[in-house]
Amino acid sequence: MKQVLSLVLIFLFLGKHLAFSYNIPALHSLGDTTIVLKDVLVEAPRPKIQTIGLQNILLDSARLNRFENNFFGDILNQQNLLFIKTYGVGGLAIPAFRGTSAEHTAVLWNGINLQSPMNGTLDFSLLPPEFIGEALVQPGSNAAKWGSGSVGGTIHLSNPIKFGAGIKAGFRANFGSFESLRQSASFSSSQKKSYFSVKLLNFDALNNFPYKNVAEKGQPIENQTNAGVRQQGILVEQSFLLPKNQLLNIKYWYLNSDRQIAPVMGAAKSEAKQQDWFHRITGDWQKQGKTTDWYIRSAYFDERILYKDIQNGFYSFSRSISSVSEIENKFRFSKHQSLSFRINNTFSKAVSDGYPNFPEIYRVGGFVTYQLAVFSDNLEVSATLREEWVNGKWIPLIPFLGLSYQLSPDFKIRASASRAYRLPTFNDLYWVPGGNQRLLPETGWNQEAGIEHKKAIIQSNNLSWNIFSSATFFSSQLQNRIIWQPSNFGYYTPLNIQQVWARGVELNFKSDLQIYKVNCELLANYDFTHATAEKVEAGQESQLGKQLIYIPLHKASGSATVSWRQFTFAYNHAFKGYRYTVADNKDFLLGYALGDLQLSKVIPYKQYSLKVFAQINNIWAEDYQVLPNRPMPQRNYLCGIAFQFYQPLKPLIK
Amino acid sequence: MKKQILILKSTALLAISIGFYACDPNKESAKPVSGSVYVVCEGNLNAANGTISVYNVSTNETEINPYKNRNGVGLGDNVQSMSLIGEKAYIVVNNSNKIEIADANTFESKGVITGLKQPRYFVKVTDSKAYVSEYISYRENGRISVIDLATNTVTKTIALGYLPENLFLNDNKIYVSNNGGNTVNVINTSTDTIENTITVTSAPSGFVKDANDKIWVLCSGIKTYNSDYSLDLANSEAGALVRFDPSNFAVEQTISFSSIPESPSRLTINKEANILYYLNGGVYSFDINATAISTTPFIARSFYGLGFDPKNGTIYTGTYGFVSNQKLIRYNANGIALDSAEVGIGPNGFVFR
Repeated sequence: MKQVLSLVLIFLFLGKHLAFSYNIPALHSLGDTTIVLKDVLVEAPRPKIQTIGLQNILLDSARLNRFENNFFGDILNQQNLLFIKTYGVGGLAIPAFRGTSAEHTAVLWNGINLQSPMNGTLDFSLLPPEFIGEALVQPGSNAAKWGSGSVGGTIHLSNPIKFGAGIKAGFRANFGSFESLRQSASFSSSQKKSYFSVKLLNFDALNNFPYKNVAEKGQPIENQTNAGVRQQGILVEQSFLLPKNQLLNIKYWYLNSDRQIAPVMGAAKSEAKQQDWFHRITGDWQKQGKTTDWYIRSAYFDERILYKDIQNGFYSFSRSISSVSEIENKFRFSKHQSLSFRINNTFSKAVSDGYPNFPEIYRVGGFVTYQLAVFSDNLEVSATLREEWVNGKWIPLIPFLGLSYQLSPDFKIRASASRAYRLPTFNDLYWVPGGNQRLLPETGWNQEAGIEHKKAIIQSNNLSWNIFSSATFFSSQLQNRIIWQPSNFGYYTPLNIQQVWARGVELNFKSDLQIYKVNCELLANYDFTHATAEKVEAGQESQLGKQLIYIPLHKASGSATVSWRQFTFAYNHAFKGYRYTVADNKDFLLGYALGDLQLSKVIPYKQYSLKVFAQINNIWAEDYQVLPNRPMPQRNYLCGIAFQFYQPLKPLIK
Repeated sequence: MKKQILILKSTALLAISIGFYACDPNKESAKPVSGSVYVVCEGNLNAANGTISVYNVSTNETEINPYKNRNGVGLGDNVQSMSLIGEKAYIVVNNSNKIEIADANTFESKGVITGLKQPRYFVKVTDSKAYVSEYISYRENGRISVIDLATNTVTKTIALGYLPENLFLNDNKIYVSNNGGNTVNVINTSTDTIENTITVTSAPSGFVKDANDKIWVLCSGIKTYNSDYSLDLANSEAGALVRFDPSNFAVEQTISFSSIPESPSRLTINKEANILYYLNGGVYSFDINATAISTTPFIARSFYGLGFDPKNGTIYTGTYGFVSNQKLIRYNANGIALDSAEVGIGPNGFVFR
């Protein structure tokens, strides 16, 4: 233990710190059932990622796992949090957040950005829901805190841990249409001072679903070909509660994904395949004191992609290595005032057939955040200022100002203004031919304001009704947007050319109703996103003022979950409006609505519990396309079981 | 409680208004246009949205996708080229591995030639047969498939060099540019065999025949890079205009472009067959008797496609862009812009009837 500690201390260049106490909650949700515990359960503290002035939409494990989903992107699409452009089931899935593209959505895993240094995106099909403990979705730019890429929004993935919970083991399997089989197993040992968890995943789907081939004469029904997906992964977590109130976390995530790249309708049959595999390791050390908290984080990512199209003779391999280390200090002047600073070091290097050598990027970023709560804590203010040094050059100062004010016990208003930026990727800078090393970072401004209403309408023993609703209005500009455009030399080259203005409204509503033993949860939301090109390259003026492609103007979703005793019924309806497919808005894809339905029952027996579930996806058999000519499955079915064993550390209280 | 009811009411109202708003826009129904100029619009790779747009010279109107408008389905993925044989258009759809045959007037589908691998260009050889060049793949040499025009099937194949591209028929011989190498294969069309191989410079593409009955081939050159992203001059080669004599296959003249980064493309020739036109950033012209390449463009604007109407000497250009519909811009023989019209995505060339 001491060795581990000293190693960490050497590694993190830090000394001892002040004593602190963890908050000890009395109620905790463990898996599917809520268990009341004695005061032994300790939730490990985490740096606060909720940001004052922004929407902070938490997807806890219950909300993440309401439906059986094979890909994290499907959950986000289902709950209408952002629009995920998917190239088919299990195919590349990239987000479009508030009218931006994949490079403008920062995805952080336990605080570390997962966006590829090579193309700036993250494939959401490579995020197994089993490996995500909870997700916090923050629409709007938060670049001052999270750096390059946090333009349209930020998604925080984390694996919260608890001490003193006992032993838990689980196995989950589901079988679905189109030869889909998914198995996962988990084991965790949560002791008073240590926590160990391992999760395993095996997933295999053929995806040979029938679809109407609208690119073929007579629109025949054909079976999708070359669309199989196979994934194996492991997530290992080890945490120690160390003497003098220190916490050490180490996490390792490995995933291997093999998938076939399905052809578009109208193209020749494909035999293309892609393998993605990565190792991600993070370690962090934390110490919370009476007035000062310290966090030190370190990460090492090694990610590889191998693309093989034997038929057409295309092969490509790329690999990127990133190493991140950061230190954060938070100092509380009083209960109402705090100051934090963080310094982040990121080094990335890549190998690709597209680069003649091994490009590197070395970034040092730092920010200072000042947080203040006044007027009996009704007014909260957060101000952040970031400065970053990239390969020897300074990025302009990136400020963030957010505030929230509790108008009345029910109503809260919030607003924020911030600057956003995104660094050019390795592909933008170094791709041969075309890479442009004179590119500037994209920069932008984001302003938003919102109102939230929260009320417990009825509160009694056998009847309770809580509602929450919010409305957010945003406007964001992005300048110097990098667009690859034809050069005089017969190839494409990226230039800082486009200016984009995205504005819109996001409405959310939630109702929790409990009548005796029946729980009923309703969720509804609607987004309006108008994102237009305000400046375009010469000769392409027909795009001016037009809605950006693949950004639905309207999207909405609603869900109802009713549970009674151990039965749960859940229905989700998600609508995505039409999306233009060409920049002059001359062509578009039709809007579509997908309904998903699930029935489940939990059968508890002593320390065991068995959940059985059955699900119908796309129950109304919508024939739809997310991207042009990419087949999507119609109605399909899934069923499965989840078995759990739980041995608490101390006896339960009834 | 009143407040809650108000919230519920306004939510319901909002939902209703969303229902109205979210309706899909109407698709404009395209007006049929008949014309004598066909514009090959590649579309985006892996989006299957390539088109042949048709242009009516007298009304200056275009129909972006007449094939889809008539047949209900698009042509396929990556429309590379088109050839006319009589009243039929043969449209080479590269990434769909097929050639769609359509009526050149109505665009009604008249059949399909399948069994191809990365087809590029199609040329009628005799009344009963045609050749199509095929890359096959980027890891092996390409071929020509011989097509029986009566049955629209492949009767035999001829093995060729790496990435065979343009085909040119002259005096019962077909010239094929091996774009991935530096040779031109000469094929005897009665025996369907390679009769000769002419060595030119790197990346040969299109051919034209001049007024002196000499054949010109445009070579785009090859670029390789050092690890500091500068050009590796030793392993690069500038593009060139190469002239050879079809009577003895001897290369008579090689006129190199002045710098390696240039990538000349889309060779075409005027009506009198004495001035070559090509793209190299702008549109450039080259007198067949000149000995050096002009450094000032004939039209100082970057284009993706280029064509020369042999009937009236009008120059057709297609703008460079792949995220929306593009334009054809017409110029007179003096390089003065005449008019423009909307065409499909990625217009790479023109076919005149």
